[in-house]
Formats: sequence, structure tokens, C-alpha cells
Amino acid sequence: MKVVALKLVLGIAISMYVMLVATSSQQGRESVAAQDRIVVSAPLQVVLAFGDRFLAANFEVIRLAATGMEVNPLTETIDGKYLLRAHQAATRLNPCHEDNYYLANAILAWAGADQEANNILWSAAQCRHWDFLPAFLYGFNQYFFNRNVIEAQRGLDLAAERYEENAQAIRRFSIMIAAEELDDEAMALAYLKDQQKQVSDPALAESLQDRVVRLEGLIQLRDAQKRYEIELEESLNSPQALIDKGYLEAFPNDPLGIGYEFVDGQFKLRRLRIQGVERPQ
Amino acid sequence: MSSHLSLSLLVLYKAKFGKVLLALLASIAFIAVLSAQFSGRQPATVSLDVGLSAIKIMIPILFALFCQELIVKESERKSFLQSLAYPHDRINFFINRWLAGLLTVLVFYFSAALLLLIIVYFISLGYSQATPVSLDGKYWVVIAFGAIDILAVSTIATLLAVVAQSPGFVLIGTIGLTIVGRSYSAVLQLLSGDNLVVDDPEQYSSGLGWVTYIIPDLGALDIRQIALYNDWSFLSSGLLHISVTSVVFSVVAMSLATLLFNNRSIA
Repeated sequence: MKVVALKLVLGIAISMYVMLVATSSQQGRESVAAQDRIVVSAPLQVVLAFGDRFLAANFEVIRLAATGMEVNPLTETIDGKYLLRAHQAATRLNPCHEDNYYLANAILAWAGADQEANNILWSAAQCRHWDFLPAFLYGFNQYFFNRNVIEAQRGLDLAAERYEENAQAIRRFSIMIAAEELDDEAMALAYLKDQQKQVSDPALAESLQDRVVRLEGLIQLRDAQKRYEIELEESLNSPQALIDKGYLEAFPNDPLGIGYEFVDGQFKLRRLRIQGVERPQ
Repeated sequence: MSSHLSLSLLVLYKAKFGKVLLALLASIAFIAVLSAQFSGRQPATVSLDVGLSAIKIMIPILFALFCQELIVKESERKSFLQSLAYPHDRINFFINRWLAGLLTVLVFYFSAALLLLIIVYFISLGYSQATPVSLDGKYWVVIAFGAIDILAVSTIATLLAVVAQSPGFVLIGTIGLTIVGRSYSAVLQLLSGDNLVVDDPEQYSSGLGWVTYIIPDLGALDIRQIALYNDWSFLSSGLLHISVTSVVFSVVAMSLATLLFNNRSIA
């Protein structure tokens, strides 16, 4: 009799428990996922990875490679800096990590966070003292995004020192930058398309495609400006004039949602506004 | 081989640790192959990196379990009363118990290192990396310095096994102290200049300086970058000093454990 009563109590308790859990999960809770993804600070990650900073770096980069390209987290989340913080944490844990600097350059630099990507590339160039690629990418980005010729040449000269077989071509590139003889948009587009061909991950390829379209939009704007200025023999003062005078049907749409800006008479890729980070104007 | 040593090895064999070791080797192979799939540019490097990490995580847990079996459970089962009956020498008995555990772990360690080398070699045939891994002398230098880490961890586990009142304490204590030993130098380095995690990192670092006297800097013995990036320049100048410190620490911990065991009242 006691056993039957006990089984009855157990049955009722289990049913009530399941019911309570089911109803509590349906109540309106604030969605944590909507805030932003969590990035644990680098020192704590070392402890969590059994005291192994290399393993912690691998965990972070594997997480980035597996989940970082689903959306454009830089623009589509509330905080929007998950990718940035995760790459920075991985850089602190192991600045030599090749996948980390490569992904940071491919994803961050072309999505409006070029300065942050450059910091990661420079850390990689210091740690990987034999590798020309992070130094080359740093130099290229400094010129293309910042028009910083001195920093660009610093990166390219370092790359040339490390890549003897191609040193002449890299040095020529550096000289052209100094002489401002470079068709940098076309070169950047060719570079991005080349990167896209090389990747095996379809998510990364898709993500790079967005960056290709963004850059094609910039080229379209600059071409229209060039035609406007040649044909009308006057400087462009407002982007709207391109549409008004029929040089452009509509402004190009940036799939990353960041857009373009017209500063000092020149079209540029708009940069991401990152809280707490002041950019030099 | 001494009778104590062969008996200790038999204890481990009877506790079915052979199957556990084989399962761990299989899991290392699985982890190494799987981790390579997540790297776009350096699959062999990531495979070697994560594989070494997996081995380094397994070793302290494994040795703590051996200590539970060879020392703590023997005490619980009161089989010491028989093992230590006259004319057996306690010190000889105890050191052979530790040696049995250490030898088994080292055999596992070198087998796992060889298995990882073979797997990484085959992975490296698939994708030609810009910076290939080193699977020759540099790899074995990394493994050799890892063996010093194992020596230190084994003496920590043995010391804890002598003072432990329950088998769980040996496992938790060994894992905890290993994490402290392997992480504190990296954590202090990462904290320096980082005001987000602690208020005053410099004061925090100086306040934790005493940890170096409790346990050596095992993290500095991890020199895997020379094999990962095929470059000797990652060897630090203080490596010899920290290696000698770790060996001397092992002698201190083992001597202390043996003395405590020798003076212990078992009846």
C-alpha cells in the first residue's frame, strides 16, 4: 500500500515538474542571443582551457570559423562587436595563429573595421617573423583604407624582406603607392575575388561575396564621379548631383548595410562606428 | 624488475587501465583528425596543436587515477597491511608505486605522441601549408620538455595521494594544481596592461608572486611553437632554468611524499 502511494506521489510530482518547466520556458524572457555573443576574456580562457593558451586560442578561432560568417555580426546585432572581440582575444592568446589573422583580414577589414583588423595583422606580423603575408596585408590595408603611405610602406617593406622571390614586385608596389600611381580599387577587387576563389568554406565564400559587391559599389561611384568631372569640367560637390545629371541611376546598395561616404570630394567605404574607439580624421 | 614494481604494474593492469589507455589513444586520434577540419589555412598545425593539448589534459587526470588505485584505494582496502608486512621496505615500496604510475603514463605519453605524429603527417600531405609543421627533431624536443611537466605533475599527484583522506581529493587537487602551474605565468602576462579584468593588474601580478614558490612555472615548459611553426627561435633563454627548477621541485615533492608515507600509521 505504501509502495503504491509512493509511486502515485512520484508520478504526480514528475508530471507537475514537467508542466512547471514547460510553462516557465514559455514565459516572456529577455532573449540573451539578441544582445551579442559572449567572448570570455583571454586570461580566463587560459584557465578554462586547462592552463593551455594555445588550446584557448584554437577554441576561439574554431568558434569564429564555425559561426562567424552566418550573418554580418558587425552590423546586425545590438552590440555587434562579437567578431571583433573574439579575434582580439584569440590574438592575445596566440598572435601567431594563421587562421585568426587571415579570417580577421577577410572579414573585419572589409566590413568597416580595418583599423582593428590591422592591429591583429601587425601582431601576427611581429609573432610570425618569417611570414610575409600579414605584413603585406597590413601594408595594403593601410593604403587602401587609410591612405597612410608611411605605414603602408612599413608593412610592404617588411613583407619584401621576408619574401625574397617576390621582393622586387612588392617593392615596386610600395614605390607606386608613394607615387600615387596605383589603381587601388581594381587591385583590391581582383584581390578579393582571388581570395574568394581560394576558400573552400562556402559560408566564408558567401561572406566575401558581400564584400566584393560592396567594393563594386564603390568603383561604380568613383567611375561616375570621374565621368562627371571630365565631361562637365567641374568638381563634384554633392553625390546627389550624379543622379540629377544622369551619371548614376541610383546609389549602389551595400549588402553589409554600412554604406559609403563622400568626404573631401572623394567616395570612400564608410567605416564602422565602434563605441569607445576614436578614429583619427 | 623489482617485485614491488611488477606488482604495482599488475595492480594497474587488473584495474583495467589498459582498455582506458587504448580508448584515450583512440580519442586523441579522433580529436586530432576532427580539429584539422576547422582550419582553412593550417590544418596540420591546428591538428598538432589541439592533439598536444588533448594529451596534456589527459596526463594529470590519468596519473591522479593511478595514484587513487595504487595508493589511496590500497589504504582504504587495508591491503597495505599485507603489502608492507616485514621485511618489505616502505620507502622502496612507495617509490616503486610512483615509478609504476610514471612509467605507465610515460609509455602512454610517447605512444600518444607517436600516434599524433603519424596522424599529423597524413594530414599535412593533404594541404600544402605556407608554414609546414616540424615532425622531426623539433617535435621530439617538445615532447621531451612535456615529459618534465609530467614528472612534476606525477609528484604533485603522489604527494596529494599521501595526504588525501578520500580518492576524489587526489583527482580534484591534481587537476587544480596542474591548471595553476600551467596557467599562472600566461594569466599574469595577459593581465598586465588589462584594466578590464582586474583594477590594478601590476599590483595583482606582484601579489601573486608567491605562487612561483608553491609550484613551478609548468606553462614555460610548453614549447610547442617550435614544432608548430618549425622555428627554433621560440625557445626562451630561461628554459634550462625552469627545467631544472621543475626537476628539483619534483625531487622535493617526492621526498616529502615518501617521508610522510614512511611515518604514516597504517594499522
